[in-house]
Amino acid sequence: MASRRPPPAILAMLAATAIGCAACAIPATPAARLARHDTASQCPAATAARQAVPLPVSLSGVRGAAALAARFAAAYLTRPAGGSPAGWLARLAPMVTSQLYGTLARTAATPALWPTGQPPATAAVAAVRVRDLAAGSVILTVTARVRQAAGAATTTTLAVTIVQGAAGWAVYDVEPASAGNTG
Amino acid sequence: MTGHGAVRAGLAAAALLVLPVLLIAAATGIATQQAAACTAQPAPTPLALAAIPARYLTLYQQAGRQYGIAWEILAGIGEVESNNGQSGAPGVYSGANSAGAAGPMQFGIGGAAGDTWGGAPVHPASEQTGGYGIDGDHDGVTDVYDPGDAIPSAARYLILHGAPADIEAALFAYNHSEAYVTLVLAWAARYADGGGQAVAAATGPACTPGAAGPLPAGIAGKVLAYAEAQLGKPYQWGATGPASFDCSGLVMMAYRAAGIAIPRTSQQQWAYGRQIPASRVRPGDLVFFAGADGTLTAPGHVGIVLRPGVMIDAPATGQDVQVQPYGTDGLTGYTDPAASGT
Repeated sequence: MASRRPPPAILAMLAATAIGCAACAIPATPAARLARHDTASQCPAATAARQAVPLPVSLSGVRGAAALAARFAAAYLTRPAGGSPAGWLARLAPMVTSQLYGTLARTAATPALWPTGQPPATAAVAAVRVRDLAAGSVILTVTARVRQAAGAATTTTLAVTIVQGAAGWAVYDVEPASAGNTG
Repeated sequence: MTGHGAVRAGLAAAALLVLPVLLIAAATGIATQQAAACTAQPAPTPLALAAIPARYLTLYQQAGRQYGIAWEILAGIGEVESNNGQSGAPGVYSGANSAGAAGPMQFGIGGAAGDTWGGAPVHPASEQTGGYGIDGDHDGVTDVYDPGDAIPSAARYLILHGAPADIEAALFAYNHSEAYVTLVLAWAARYADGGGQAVAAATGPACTPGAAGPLPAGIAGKVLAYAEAQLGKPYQWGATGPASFDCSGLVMMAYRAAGIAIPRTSQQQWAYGRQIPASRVRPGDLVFFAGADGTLTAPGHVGIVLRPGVMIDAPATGQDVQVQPYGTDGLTGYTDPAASGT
């Protein structure tokens, strides 16, 4: 049976198109990368891919999902100075499904996860890659540098699942990108 | 490859924001999954579970639910026509038999059998042929040799020839032989509890939850209803839905749908839940296996117990979420996540 999903090579091309590709100029910031490829004609390989394989999500849809995943990951990992759990949740709320909101709300309501005196942290997205495409759903991995006020920056990668809802794309789930089972 | 490390060391604040997804259990604020779509599908017998390849069983059940035909009727056809795709006879995997029948459901592609499939045996789904063949698995190709297409196409054929109201007439139209009708119904009766009978369409008043039989109440019912609703979706490493799952992703989201947060990977889930002996296993409990890359103490595979000896799981790359039997080979044990910490 033929696969329901695009071949990995096509996903790689899409990722390149959504975020920036080797054949194209790579802008300095993730936001710029996403914006730069809105014209959708700068990566010949991706253009060929679009012509060859019908994709379950349009190229503009992938771009939108990638942009949302980047915004979400940055907000999810950032803890501004003086910020509260309620503020953290409020920034995430417009981006997530009702089910994920419930999960995040319990995170925000757990005092042990918000210890007094915890240093603020700021996250900057370094890369967004497409892991999987399906009709109405995109899984992306988002790599971010998290810098604490007093300490070295660390790197973390999240798997962010975006779904198409009535009001547009929404974040459906967030997990560590390394988490999974082969079966 | 398993994700033992939910969060890398040294991530400090970042880690604290990831961990809660794994640790917090609560019953409020989560939209509970509605019961699986009403299907009126009887449960497979042990014979069916043993004799029918898991993928075929899933496809029969999916097509049955979609078209409102008892899945075992489709299985009876598949058994008689191709031993559920396991026959090496000409025409099952390529070409056609002497009558021009092809694929696991033996549609006519020319010759004495006519051209019921329509067009070339394998053609683009966008091609309008006027035949009964459809692109059931939505892969862009209508392939008579692909059970993902052939089985729903057979269901469509039956519907267009009188099923489910007059299943015998539909079967006779499928293959013009009284003996064929009798044989298919006999296999259907062997493959499902109370099988071989026409069932109500999916919207009918007699409709009851399907492959799991009557679902248990409470948490287990919600867990199983969620898992049943995912049947047929593909395995994808690291995926937690809604379009695809890996084994532990399916389990985590099924419990999340029931208002219970459990850890992400099978190794973490094994350590999290309260272990229970086989004699006390109930529907909705988790069953663990060493799996492809785990061990008996750090199991790499997990499924949701549908009933003792049968589970719903996302098996591996290339396979869909399905109902399948399990044995003791590689079995680590069972847990009840809902009882964790009690």
